[in-house]
Amino acid sequence: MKSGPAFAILVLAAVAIAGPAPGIETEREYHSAGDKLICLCGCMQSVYGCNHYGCPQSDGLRKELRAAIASTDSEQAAIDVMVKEYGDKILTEPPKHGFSLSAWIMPFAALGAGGILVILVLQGWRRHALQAAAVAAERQQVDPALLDKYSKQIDKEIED
Amino acid sequence: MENVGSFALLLALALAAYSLGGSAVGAWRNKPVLVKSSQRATIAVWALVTLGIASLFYLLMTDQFRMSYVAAHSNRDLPLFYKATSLWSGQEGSLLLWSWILSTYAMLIVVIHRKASPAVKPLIPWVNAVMMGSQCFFLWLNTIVASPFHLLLASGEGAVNMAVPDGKGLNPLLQHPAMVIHPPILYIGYVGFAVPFAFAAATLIVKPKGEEWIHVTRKWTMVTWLFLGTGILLGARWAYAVLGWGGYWGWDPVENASFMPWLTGTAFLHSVMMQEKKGMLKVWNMALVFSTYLLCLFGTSLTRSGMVSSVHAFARSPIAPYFTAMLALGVTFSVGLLLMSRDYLRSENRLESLVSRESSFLFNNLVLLAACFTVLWGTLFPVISDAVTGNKISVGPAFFNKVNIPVGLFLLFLTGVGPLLAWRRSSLDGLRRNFLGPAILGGVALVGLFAAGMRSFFALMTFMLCVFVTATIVQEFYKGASVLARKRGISLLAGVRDLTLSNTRRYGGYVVHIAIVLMFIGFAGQAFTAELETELKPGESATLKNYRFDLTSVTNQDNPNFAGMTAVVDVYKDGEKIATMDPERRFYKASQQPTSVVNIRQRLNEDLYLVLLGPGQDRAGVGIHAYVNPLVMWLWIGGFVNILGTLLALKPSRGVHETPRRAAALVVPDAVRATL
Repeated sequence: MKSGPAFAILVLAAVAIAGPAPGIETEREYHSAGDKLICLCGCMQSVYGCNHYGCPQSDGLRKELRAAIASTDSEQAAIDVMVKEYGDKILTEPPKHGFSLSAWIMPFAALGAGGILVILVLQGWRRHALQAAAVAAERQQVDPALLDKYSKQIDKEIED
Repeated sequence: MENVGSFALLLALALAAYSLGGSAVGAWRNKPVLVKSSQRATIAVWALVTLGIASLFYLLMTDQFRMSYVAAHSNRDLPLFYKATSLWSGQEGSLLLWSWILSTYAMLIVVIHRKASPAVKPLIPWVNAVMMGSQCFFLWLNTIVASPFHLLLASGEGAVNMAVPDGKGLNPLLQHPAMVIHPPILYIGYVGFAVPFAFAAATLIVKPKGEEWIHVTRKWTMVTWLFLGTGILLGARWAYAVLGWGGYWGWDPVENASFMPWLTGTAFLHSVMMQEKKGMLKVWNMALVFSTYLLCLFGTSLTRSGMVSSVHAFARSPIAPYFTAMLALGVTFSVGLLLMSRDYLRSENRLESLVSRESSFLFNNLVLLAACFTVLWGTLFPVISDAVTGNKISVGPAFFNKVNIPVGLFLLFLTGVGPLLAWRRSSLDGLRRNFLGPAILGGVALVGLFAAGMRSFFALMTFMLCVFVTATIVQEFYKGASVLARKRGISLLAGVRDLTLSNTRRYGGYVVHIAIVLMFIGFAGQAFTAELETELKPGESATLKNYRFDLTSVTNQDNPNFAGMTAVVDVYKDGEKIATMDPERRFYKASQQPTSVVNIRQRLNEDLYLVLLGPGQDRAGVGIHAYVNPLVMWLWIGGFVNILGTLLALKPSRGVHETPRRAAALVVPDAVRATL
């Protein structure tokens, strides 16, 4: 009985070293790689997920992907085989290099530029309001009670 | 009947041209009789286009296969229900539907605003002229470029009219109840944005004093925004129930085309409050109204020109150059009007504090427009890449999800923050008072879900923000209602009712925000989708999460419209039988096309979604694809709540003056005004 835990640890270690069965690993790679490739029929679905009955593309692409996985040693290598065959358009998303990198950058660049613009606009408006108030205060003294009364009235009416 | 329809549309085109010219000249030269006559012509245009569409409807219902359109989109054995829907299943019919909806809007404007207030009345002839300008374009397409009344011709020399014994039938994917209402509702939304566009253009031509026009425009925008949003959701529902890939939104160019004007329309509905209440953002609001309708035209052109590939798009047709010309005209017209009206649109741009409702609206607009730009950029990137590098790139859902999820979460955050910030300025004390409770609740939700084992970053963020936003809205209702209840000696529930009815626009808006929260809950569920694809023979089982599927039998059916195969599957959850599901595979005879009829077991926590893929590899079994889709139901519930909230916001408030008052319009002594 004393050797029980040690034996269990040995078995677990052996399983961990061996990893999952080759068939399962290949299937996992096929699924994962298939999800990173887009069906070329225009359905916007992945090669793995395309469910168009009689789709002119997906069955052939799946066969090629399985062959690529069988003939290479990694998921990425299989994807590279498909890209070599069909070009970057086989990928579900633009690659992050060359001109395609702009696809990823532009939305965030636009958001950032817009954010800066909004902040500048807000600061301009604020400056305008402060200047107007300063000029008015110089010209005539306003009763603080009157100011408070109308300020509250404006707040109420805007909220309505 | 085709001659009646054809002639009606041709006459409608002539009358629309007369109405356009008559309205513009009548308003310009101040000739009320000419204006009146033009408005009557607009009503006649509606009657004639109605006759045109009724003619096509009759031809479809009576199987007139000598007509090219009928032969291409219907067949004898098609159920009557779907014969009616084939009216908008093709290019020509859907363009006629567009024309008819546009003419209906134009007619309604003439009728509803017959007794408009003195501030709005001078706008109506110009509104009519702009509407009729758009109408002329579509009637031109209906009569000259893409007429639905073409006869089927035998090809070859000396072509003669002919009829085929039966039509090619309706695309099987369109034979679904959602497709009966999705296209018309989407079109009511799409086309409806012509109305705010026309009001905005008329305002810049007439330059009336006051802001009443913006109040009228906002109401029209809300109506059309509601239809567009509902149409988009119905499309998502159709995709979910029909396409059989387990999802409801694939970022397809056709879907994106409808989403972009919805985003800019939403931005307008927020920023318009700045103009109504503080006289700010006048140029910006005009630009939003113009771009929303132009995006509708752009989207329509995108889906019909073959510029981008999509399984949803109409077949490539010769209408693309006409749409491009119309878009160019629309952009020139809009930019020209804006440039000529700079003085009129000068805003009273003053900001008391950077931490205020005004700031939040600007950020809200920024995020909505960034989302719109992202969708546009992603949709067009394959074309841009092809043009710049000669290398065609695919931009699939993975890209749109990665880029839009952070943007969407920021928007959700602003949905909670915006309404809690006061107009003009928010004090630190006020911020603490308003935000502390919701922020704590959001934090508790985050910690609780993490402790419960949730590890998806975006799902955690979404649920935290959903709790935060819900708490802010509930707090707003509670604070207002409890004060009202105390003051009037009524219950809290009655207080909520009275509070809501006293300011329907504000509280209706909050209900719409709740709808957005519900939809985000639905979106977050996608992070936990599980799926299984397997082949089963009768008597065999498969498992997915805690579900077990037993294939009990496979049955066949045959009727004049289609032949089909049904898999009967007993479903067990944790060992207990919960349902018998029967996904189908059909083969439509007339169109010679197969399709899946998905079976969905919908619950609040998760949907069980079964697709029959067809016969298995060895023909003895069948292929089954099963999905467990958590929380999808909340998306549809959100859609219903959105309708309720928008209708509530459209309802006039009880005992409150209809036209919003602007702070700038208050009677305040000049000295005080300058310092406020």
